[in-house]
Amino acid sequence: MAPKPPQPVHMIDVSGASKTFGNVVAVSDVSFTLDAGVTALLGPNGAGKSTLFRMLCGLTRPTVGTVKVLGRDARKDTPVRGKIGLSPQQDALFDRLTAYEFVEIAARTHGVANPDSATTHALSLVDLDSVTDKAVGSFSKGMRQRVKLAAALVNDPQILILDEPLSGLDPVQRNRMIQLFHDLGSQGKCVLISSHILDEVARIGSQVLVIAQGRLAASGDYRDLRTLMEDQPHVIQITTNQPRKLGAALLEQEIIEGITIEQDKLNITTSRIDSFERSIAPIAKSLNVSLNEVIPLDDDLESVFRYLIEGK
Amino acid sequence: MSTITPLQAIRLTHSVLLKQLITKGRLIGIAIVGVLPILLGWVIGAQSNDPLEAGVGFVSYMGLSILVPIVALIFASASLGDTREDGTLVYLWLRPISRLSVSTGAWAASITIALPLTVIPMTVSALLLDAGNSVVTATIITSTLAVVAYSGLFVTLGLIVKNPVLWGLAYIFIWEAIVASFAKPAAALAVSGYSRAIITGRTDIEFDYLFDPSQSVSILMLIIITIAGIAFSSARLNRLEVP
Repeated sequence: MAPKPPQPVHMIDVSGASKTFGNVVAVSDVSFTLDAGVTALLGPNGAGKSTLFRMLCGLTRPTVGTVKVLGRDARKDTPVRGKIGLSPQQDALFDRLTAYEFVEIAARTHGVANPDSATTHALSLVDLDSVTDKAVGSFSKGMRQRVKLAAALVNDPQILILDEPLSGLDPVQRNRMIQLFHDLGSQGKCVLISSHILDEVARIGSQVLVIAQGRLAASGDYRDLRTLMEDQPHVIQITTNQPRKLGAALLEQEIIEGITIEQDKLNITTSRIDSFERSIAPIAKSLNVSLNEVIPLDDDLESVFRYLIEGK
Repeated sequence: MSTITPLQAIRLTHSVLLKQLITKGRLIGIAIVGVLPILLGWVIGAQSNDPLEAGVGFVSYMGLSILVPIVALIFASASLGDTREDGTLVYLWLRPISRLSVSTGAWAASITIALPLTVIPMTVSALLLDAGNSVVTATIITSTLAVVAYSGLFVTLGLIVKNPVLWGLAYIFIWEAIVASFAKPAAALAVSGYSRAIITGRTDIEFDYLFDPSQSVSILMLIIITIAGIAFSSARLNRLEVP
């Protein structure tokens, strides 16, 4: 009999993993494998994303099933923890340390060969090189996110697990970080990023895992998911100086189906998201209306999950 | 990527946690508490007919049973307990370093602060008692050993319970200060039982009702309690569900 070929070791391998806290099922029978590249984990708040990430890092053990990183259990295997970079969701940092000290401690505890240059490099990657001597306790939310990212990157890990890393960042920083994630994915690293914002996920990566109510609701290429969702209405909030004028024009051109106005906020519903994205700026310009902010609302995401889970 | 030695890991953990532990509020509070034994030492020294016996009694009951364990409790229980509560433990837990290094670093950070905050006021009060050099020397040795042992225990306590200070105070006042003072079998299971035995042994003062193992046995037991505390917190870190 020919010898059995060895099973390939995936960078991340989750098999039938469930996690319960008393009667609460946080993660239920989730299985997937991931290799190099950027993958977005999409799910509403409370869907089980952070619990799944904690299991991947070994911070909590699965009640049932197995969770392997580089073929190892991070809870039991000390060396594999040196190959993981985690940016956790919680905001807590060692507030009395400076940004430099916080990242340097990460470098040194990972046994990085040249901790000083690695620290400087990691801080420059997240644009914090000008505030290295400031205590992280005085940082804004966006800066705290970035210092967590720097600490996660400082050991040049093969696996990056980033829990809502874009929350609190301004649009420019978001773009910079998303580009950084793509660069890391191209370098052969496995980058797993969670988000509850659908629009954000579209920009993070083409590979998505969708988790809802603890279950893996969908996985694969984001574009396929988008196609699947095309007939689902999107709810978008536009902040503008003339919401009535802009709303009327959008209705007139049949780009949107529904509209509500609250002070300077215009909430619209559209099934023609592509047309909307193409038209909104030219229409606003032609009407001489300012667009202060255009954001998809979470309700839209909830409808995605309802559709994926319940088929409606 | 190289790995770091356990000693380096302990040093790094120590430096991080030390910075987190030193807060203005804690230091002011403890400094105020530290003034109390100094004042009492001065009063007792001035009024007692037998300053040696009164001094040893004062150091044993006020210092070793109350001040020393309370200060050790505040810092040791917070060293890892606070990181577990606020979610920063993940930044130590998810590093390729042993749990033993983390718990030893936490213990070392605790005693770095607790030792000067207890040994200095206790030594000053021993000097003010005017009971001789033997009491001063015995106070320094026993305070040091007691802080070391209590810190080992209370690092673990911070990882086991919520509100470790409340639980710790209950333990100190009920078990260490009362039960272990009057029941010899209980004293064999209390840090204060051994620390009091050292100070009475070194000063040749005898309290009939006190548990009285030899000094060497007492020192050995305090070392064992310290090591057991650190080892237990390390095992606790292994099993912990990290937030």
